[in-house]
Amino acid sequence: MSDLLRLLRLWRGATGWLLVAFVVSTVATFANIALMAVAGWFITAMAAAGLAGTSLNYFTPSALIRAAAIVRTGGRWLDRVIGHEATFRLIARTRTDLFARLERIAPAGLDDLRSGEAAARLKGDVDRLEAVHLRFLTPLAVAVLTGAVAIAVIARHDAAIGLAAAIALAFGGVAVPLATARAARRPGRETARLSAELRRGIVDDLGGLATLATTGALANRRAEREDTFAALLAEEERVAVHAATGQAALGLSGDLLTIAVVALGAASLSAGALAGPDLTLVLLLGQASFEAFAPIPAAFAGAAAMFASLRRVFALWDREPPVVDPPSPRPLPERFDLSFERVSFTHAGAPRPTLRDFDLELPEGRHLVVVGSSGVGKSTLVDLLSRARDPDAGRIRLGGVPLPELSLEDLRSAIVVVPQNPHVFSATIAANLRLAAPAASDRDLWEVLATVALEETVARMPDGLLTFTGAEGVTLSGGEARRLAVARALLLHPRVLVLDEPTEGLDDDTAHRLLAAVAARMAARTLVIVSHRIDVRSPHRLELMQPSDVVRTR
Amino acid sequence: MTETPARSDVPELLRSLRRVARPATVGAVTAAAFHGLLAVAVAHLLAGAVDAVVFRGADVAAVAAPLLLLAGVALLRAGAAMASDRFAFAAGAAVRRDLFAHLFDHAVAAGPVRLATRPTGERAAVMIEAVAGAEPYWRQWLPSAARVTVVPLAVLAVVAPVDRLGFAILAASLPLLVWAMILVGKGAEVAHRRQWASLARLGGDLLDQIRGLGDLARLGASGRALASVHAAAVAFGRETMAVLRLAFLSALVLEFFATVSIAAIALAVGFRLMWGELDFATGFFVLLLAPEFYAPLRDLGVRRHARIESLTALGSIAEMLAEPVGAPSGTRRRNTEAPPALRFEGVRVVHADGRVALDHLDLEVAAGEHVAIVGASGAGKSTLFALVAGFVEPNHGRVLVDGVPLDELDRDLWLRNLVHLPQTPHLFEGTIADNVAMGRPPIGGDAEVAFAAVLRDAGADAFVGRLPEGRDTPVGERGVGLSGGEAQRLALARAFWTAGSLVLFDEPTSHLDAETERLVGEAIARLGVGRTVLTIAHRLATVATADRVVVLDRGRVVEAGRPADLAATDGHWARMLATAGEEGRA
Repeated sequence: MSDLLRLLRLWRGATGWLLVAFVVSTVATFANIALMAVAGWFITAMAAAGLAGTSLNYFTPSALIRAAAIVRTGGRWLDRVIGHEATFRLIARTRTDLFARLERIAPAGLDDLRSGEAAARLKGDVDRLEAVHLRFLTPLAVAVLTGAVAIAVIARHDAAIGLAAAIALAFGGVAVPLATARAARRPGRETARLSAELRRGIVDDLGGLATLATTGALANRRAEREDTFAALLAEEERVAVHAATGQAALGLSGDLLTIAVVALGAASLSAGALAGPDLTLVLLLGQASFEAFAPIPAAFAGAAAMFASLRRVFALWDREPPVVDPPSPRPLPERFDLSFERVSFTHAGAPRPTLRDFDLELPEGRHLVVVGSSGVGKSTLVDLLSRARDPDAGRIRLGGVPLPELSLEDLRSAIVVVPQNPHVFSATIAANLRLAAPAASDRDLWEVLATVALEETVARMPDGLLTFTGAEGVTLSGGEARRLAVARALLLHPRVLVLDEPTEGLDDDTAHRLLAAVAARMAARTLVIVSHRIDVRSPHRLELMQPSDVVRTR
Repeated sequence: MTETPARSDVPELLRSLRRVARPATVGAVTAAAFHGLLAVAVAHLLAGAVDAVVFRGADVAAVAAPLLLLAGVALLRAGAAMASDRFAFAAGAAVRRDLFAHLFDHAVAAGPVRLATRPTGERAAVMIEAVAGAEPYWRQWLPSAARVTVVPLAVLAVVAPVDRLGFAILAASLPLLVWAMILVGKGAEVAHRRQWASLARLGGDLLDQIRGLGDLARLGASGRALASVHAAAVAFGRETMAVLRLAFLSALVLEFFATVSIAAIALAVGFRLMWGELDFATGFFVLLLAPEFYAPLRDLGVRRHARIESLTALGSIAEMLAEPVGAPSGTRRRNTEAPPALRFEGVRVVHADGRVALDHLDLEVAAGEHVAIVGASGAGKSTLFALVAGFVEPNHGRVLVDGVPLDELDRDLWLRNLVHLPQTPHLFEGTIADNVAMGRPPIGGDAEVAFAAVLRDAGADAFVGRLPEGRDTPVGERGVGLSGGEAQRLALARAFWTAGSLVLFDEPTSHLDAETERLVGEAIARLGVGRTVLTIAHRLATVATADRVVVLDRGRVVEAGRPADLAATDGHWARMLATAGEEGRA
């Protein structure tokens, strides 16, 4: 609930629009109720007048009916347009604000969000915030307000019928939907759990399909997946039954109220406490006010998911950046000699340190290859160099200056890192390359592409440098994406270039060509290459072993 | 790249799914229509009761019977609503079960090599999200469509004999409504699809920026991204709104006709009541029915999205089901545990993208022989393995096992003759023991003894012993991470458990420490005893111990012979040895 208030505070600037949407929605709902109620009153009064042979001022009610019809039609349309427009603007703003927050904590603060699934969740969670206004707060407020007014109007005509309406609306419109939504929460959670389990299982099966086939385990696996799927459907059915019960109870309460109105009305009528046309008015007023409650079961049922999204969005919002800029940064040093002094680092939750008392001297211009099997701390070393994270103990210096005393911008312009799984944006090859070097000429681009052995590949693409890549265009293989990222980094003319597993996914020939060309281009500048492959050559080689305080250089 | 889906597949898929879901669909549609029709009964009973109370001076007792009847109808209505929902859910569930099973079987029939055309996560997404996305067609659209075909006509039928004018108003509005629906519905469906596609693209843009955030930060270029995220976010909102505005407009048209008609009926009824041309019960009955006449049409307008969404989901499923699968399995059973002899005769394999993986490959492997295969990547080494496992089929030539064509063998049985050791073995979610046994009973019958034996044989006993829960330690996605060498030895233990007679070993190219390398080498040697072994070799030591080395180049065998003999020549292998010698590694 506090998250909801926090969101509303965040949206403060636009509360005006949300209020307008709420008012319009309320007016449209009242018009709908008025249309039916006045129409009912009108025909009854006209019939009574006809029978009695008296005349009736029919101008006012017939004008009311026409007015209600116009307001209802126009109001519903306006309500939707304003409500959605305001919401989408707010969501766009929230999205941008959240992205700005994330920027401060990237890259290391987003480690657990690197996978596409997590990023998709981030998008989906923000999308779901539209429900806050459109499907939760406004329908709820409109229903409560409309219900209260309807009950008051009915009670003014007949107290007993007013009480009946209050009970029916409170029961069918609020209590039952609330109860069914609560009951559906557990199967709802189960549904999410089983669906995640199913996904893991399928990924597991497809990844190990060859092994499953050769061990004869496929039939069992298929049965297991079908069982999980059946369990998932069973839980979903439970959710569906609860939702249907809530909806049916709402309809039933409306019907029962109608019956109660006729029964109670008959008594009041014979007692002379109620006029005939008023009975019809009250009857249709009660019926129509139930329409305002129609979205309530869905609102309650979706509330849990909405609040969960809200929680996740704010959890992300509140993350602290793992590294911060110094208040008064020192200028970049003259020389870019690197040194590690007794550096230790333990990943959060890891039982043992990844690096312990690690020492390394790397004079400017040295080319170094770091090898070792997976998990010995090679990538951690890379992260520490560009201050994606800071060490727990020890010091890393660039030209004698400790890294935390340099501004992040300076540091990252001096030491450029190409990560193991670089991202290729859905944009042209040229735009991907010019990401950090917007002024680079086409000739520069072709030159770096040649260095990373991508020149021919790009030249063969339909639109050359202007070929679209990524989800909407040509799909690059993992190896090609990695080389494109190396080219992107080379354009910055870094004095220290760090490549994390650049040869992964490349055939031996291309790998050797790439490394030789990059080494030639980085002559007299520092180059660090991290690899787990057994065939990466270099005059300077650092072998990390486990535990990683054991270091062998050659 | 994926080809554009054959759209004709969706109607076909839809037809077959309709058959699968027919019984439940009939139930759902019937209950939905019945629920709609009960509204007529409610209106009739209610109009009668109100007429009696207001104009005939009836007291509660006099209207008790119709009111009780009304309560009964109300209960029936609630029941029908729930029944319709249950049936609709069942129909959707039947469709989803069917789709899921088909997709799973399709993936199995395609095999691991053909599946590699798409990332696994994407396949899983189709099997879960797209399958779920097919549901609304049955759950929402069909019941809604049923109500629309039955209720307005039923209302017209009951109004016609009692109120000519009311009938005329309703009947006149119907073609207008249908026309408006078709106009904004059918015509807009194309626009709808196009706009949904552009929405998906914008959504993709946002995802793209989020995923690339780390890279931008590393390049110091994140400031520029913020502007483009803002632009994408605003555009996303604007485009969504554009789609919705269309939907709102169609709702407005519907709403307009419905509201005007209701108002017109109220006025028409009212004046004729005053003039005594109509009795109240009839007039009230018609007024009560007017909203019921339009409600299903309005509902259908809301559900149109459900239909489009489902058809889109079915499109991506049809596309996946249209991907090629392997030939059906043969029927000959290989009833021997003896190591097989293999023979490749003029084999040519061309990948889907036109690359020639193997070309005129002739190779004979004797039963029990150990052959090391070397060559640059792209030379066809992995395709050779895939061929033996039946994961790809030759475009020309054939593969013989003990003289029998591979495609005539019962595939499941043949696969169980294989021990497949990939570079990076797949560890399944489960314990160490699960991953070793893979649901197979141990050879000797005693699991304890068998586990100790295979872990020892695989050189895995020491590290498994050090794990917190030993053999019951969970591994895989949610378990502890094992190093490459440890995973390799676990896969070997899996192989020893009930080893087949043909070993396909893809030696890891990744860095292993010397101790691990020794342990893996020794375990492989033990496994090779009495079996035919094909190894894709990357290390000199591995080749040296083989009976024969086969050098592949661009899909052909360019050299074959005993390693020592070939080293003495000046052929491919000797040259490879010379380059490797500079670094001390192959």
